[in-house]
Amino acid sequence: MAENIKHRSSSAGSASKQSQRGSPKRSASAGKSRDATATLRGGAAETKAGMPALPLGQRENNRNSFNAAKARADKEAMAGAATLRTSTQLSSRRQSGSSQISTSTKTSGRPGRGKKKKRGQNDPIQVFNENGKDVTPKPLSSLKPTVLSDKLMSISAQSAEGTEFVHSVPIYSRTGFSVTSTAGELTPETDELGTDFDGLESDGQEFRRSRRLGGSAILETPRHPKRKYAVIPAPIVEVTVPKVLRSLSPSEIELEKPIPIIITESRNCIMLNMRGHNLNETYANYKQVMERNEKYLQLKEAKLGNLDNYTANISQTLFSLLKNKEAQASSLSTQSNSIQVNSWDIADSVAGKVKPDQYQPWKVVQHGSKDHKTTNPTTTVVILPEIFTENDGPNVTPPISPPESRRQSMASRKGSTVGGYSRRPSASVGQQSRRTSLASRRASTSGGMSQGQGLDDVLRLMSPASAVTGAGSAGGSQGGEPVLLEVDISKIPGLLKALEHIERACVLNTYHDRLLDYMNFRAREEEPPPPTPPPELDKDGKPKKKRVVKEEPPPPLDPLAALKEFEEKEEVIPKVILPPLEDSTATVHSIWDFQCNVTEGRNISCMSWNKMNRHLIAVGYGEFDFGKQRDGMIAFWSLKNPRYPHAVLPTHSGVTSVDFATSSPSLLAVGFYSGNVAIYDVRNPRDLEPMVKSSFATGKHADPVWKVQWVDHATEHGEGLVSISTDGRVSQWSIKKDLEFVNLMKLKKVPSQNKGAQPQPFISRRSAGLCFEFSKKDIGIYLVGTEEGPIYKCDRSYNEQYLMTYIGHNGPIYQVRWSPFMESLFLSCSADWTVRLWSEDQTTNMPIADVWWSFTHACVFAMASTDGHMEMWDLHLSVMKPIVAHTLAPDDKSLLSCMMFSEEAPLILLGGSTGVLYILRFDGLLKEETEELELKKLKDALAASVTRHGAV
Amino acid sequence: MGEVETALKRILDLEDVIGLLLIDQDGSVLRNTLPEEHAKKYVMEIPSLTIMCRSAAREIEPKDELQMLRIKSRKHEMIVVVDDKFTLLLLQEYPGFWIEPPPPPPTPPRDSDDEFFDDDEDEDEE
Repeated sequence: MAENIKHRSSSAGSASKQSQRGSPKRSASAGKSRDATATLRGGAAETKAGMPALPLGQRENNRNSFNAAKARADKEAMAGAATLRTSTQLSSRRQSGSSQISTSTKTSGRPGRGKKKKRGQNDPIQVFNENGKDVTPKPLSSLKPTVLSDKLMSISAQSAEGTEFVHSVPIYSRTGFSVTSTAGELTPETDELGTDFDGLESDGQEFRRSRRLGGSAILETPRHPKRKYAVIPAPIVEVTVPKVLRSLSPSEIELEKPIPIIITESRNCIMLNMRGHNLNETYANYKQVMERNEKYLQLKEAKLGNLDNYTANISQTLFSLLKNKEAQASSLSTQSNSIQVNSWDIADSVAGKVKPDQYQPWKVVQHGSKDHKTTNPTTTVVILPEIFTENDGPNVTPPISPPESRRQSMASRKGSTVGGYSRRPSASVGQQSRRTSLASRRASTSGGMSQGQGLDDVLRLMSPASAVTGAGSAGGSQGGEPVLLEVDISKIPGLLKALEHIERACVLNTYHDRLLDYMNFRAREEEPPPPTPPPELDKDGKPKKKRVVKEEPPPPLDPLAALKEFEEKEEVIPKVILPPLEDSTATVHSIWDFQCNVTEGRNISCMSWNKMNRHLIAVGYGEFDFGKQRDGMIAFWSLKNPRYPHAVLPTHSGVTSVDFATSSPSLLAVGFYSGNVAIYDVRNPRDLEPMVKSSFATGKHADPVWKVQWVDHATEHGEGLVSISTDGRVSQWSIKKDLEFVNLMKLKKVPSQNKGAQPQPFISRRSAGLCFEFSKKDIGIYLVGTEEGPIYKCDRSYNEQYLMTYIGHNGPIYQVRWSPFMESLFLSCSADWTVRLWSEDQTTNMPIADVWWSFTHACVFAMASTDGHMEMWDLHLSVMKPIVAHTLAPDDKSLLSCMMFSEEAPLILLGGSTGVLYILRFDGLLKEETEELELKKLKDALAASVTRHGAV
Repeated sequence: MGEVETALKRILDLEDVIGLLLIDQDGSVLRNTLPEEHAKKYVMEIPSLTIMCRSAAREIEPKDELQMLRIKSRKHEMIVVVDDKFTLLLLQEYPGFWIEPPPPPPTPPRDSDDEFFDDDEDEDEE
């Protein structure tokens, strides 16, 4: 190599006679870089020598030297170009010789040709500026000549020995350097070599050899004619000798022409600018620094004379040495997501309603297996929310209709391109793939990407809105069937509530008409009144109380109604059919039954309206009989769902009474058969435990609680709970701390009213209370119905004695009710077959002394009261009013004690206490002709007005 | 059987309920008791409707939220409960709902038998 360079530089120098400074001037493109490097090096040396550089300003110096070298190279390139032009015109021998090399490399069929050609192709392109300067970029990297010289020598020697050529850029630079230093003294020899060219001009191979010889002279390699020589091709842009030109076709000449490419020089950009730590005068802040130093010196001198403990000292601080290190970092990966939101979506996320993970519109999952740790954006598949990407290959039946199948194929093609490399067995997706057939079908119809099996883990659409959007974009239906999946749906939050709502909505639809009926909306025409249904009796023969019946309250004074109630109440085995009053328009028909499997077979013991929500009923279930006791239950029936209770509270003991509070409507007081009183807060129907409950410690009842009722004590502590039990206590409970009670009354037995009977010792001194009711007129007054029969009127102020005792019933009194209209009236019902209507203040009913059937009229009887009062009744006409009421003269103080009809005449005999026998005649009674007709009349009267028993 | 299943069974036991469809947030069918052809249609149609209604409800009152959708058609009542996590659809049908559609207007009897013949004749001629 080096010899070539030597030769060429020397030849160029000899041809142009411009090699004044010893720097080789050449037109060769390959040599250009060598030249540039050489001059660069030389320039660097010059710069170093000539410029007083700061010790730490190496980089700047380097840059300067580089610029200088570049400028110099430009200059030289221009000179070289000039040389080129002159040489082409003069067609000097040496130029022709060198050109011959280039042509010979192309024409000769030598074995090394291919390599040479390749070499020629690798030659850098020359670049000229508008002035003809060669501004071919030079290699930036260079090696220190001192380091490489020895190595290169050996390489060149080897190449001279065996290889055809060895070529590399560092060698160029290195040789360039060496040439620079030695060109001057070698010039004569190249001249001498040039003479060799003359003789060998016709033979390219020989010429190469001669070139080689020229080089070997420098490197002192022995000449050998048979040796293979490394050949450096001549520059492509050479202009050649006419003789050679003749052998070339014109097109080839054109090919050989240099193609000028105009390239303008761009601005220098400073890649790195570091200031040195040392200064010289050229720096802008030189003055300032010097001044500061001056000041500091002055300060030091001033300090020296002071009294302070000041000592001048010199210390060296360490620079923090900066170190620049290049590191390679992975390229930034970017992803872009987008989603369409509504304004309320934004509002939700601002308000924090939407959890970020919940509303994540999509989840971008790395495509491919888990070993793809790097987030390379190219492997990330971002799929818009409109597109469902699940697909469970085997489950999806291919679509049938042609257009859709086309779409499907498109989608699958897309899927194969996009998700192709994620096709892996979807074993990991298990459940997901099972429940995605529908979604995937949607995905395929919506023109989305139907991706591979593994794609449902590519993304899960989290947002319901987007899911629905995706569903909405789905077009027509698809083949395949919705797969019914046995997924555990009990964990879905809110589903139970939704089911409840939907059930109610559904049932309300079903019951719409009946609910209208219930609410007394008579939008439609009145249906013809159905025949009065027989009272439904359940197993125990008791009428179903749960049947909600809209009915006009029976006229309170109607004994028929009383009789009816009595007959419903009591166990009357034969079928009772009461004829309604002729002029009655009241009808009763069934609307619906509150019943369900939960309450089946349980005895309804009590019920209570909620005071706030009038459509909510609390129904207590519990057995009355001691022998049948079982657990109880409270069911809350609501109009919103007549098919199933709103909530069910199971209880340990049978429920005997319930009552909703008025002031806080969610409180439900419950009395149990066990004697306990509990208060439930029913706001949370799932809460099965009572809020408070009585216990032995707090004094529960010893016997079943038969009634609990919230009583509003406006003057005292608000609303209190009152309970009554067969243990004789009427207790008021307060829930201030725990459930505490105060006894309003301890019911004491009263001696029998029967004057004649001997007073018998009481087994229990307490009278068993069964029911009570507070008066609406006076909140302190209440009635207590007892098991023995008497009804007591009590006052809360006196817990020892009764205000009044109403004796009439013989059996246990199950209920007492004040009239809501007339405060002094109340009804009582009893186990003695009767319902009695009482007036609060009237207690003096006189005994009836005697009664007598008429001999002639089957339906007529008469009675005598002890207060001097005689009545005649005709069952046929009325059972309410007597047909005749006769009172003795006011001044007659006689009490009637007996009476008698006459068989012969329409006469009544009355006997009184004063010894007077009164004889009365009655007229106007209708009489049938025969006794049979009279009997029939009586039967009709009974059937019409009272009752018709099977036997009668 | 859990509470949910019990409630579900109770609903399905109602006499006029055709079926119930439970779709989860991803559009997967969790429960379906509808006939297949019905289910497909409802799955296709209803969610788009719910999203529209939901959007409308929110547009009208931004703090509001759609909860239930009831569609009363001539034959059915669809009750749709919309939730974040699922969509529950119930299809109800009962005779009380069925309003007999007005009979289609009687097609005017083609008194133009002659025309038919004419046409035929024309065709024959052609």
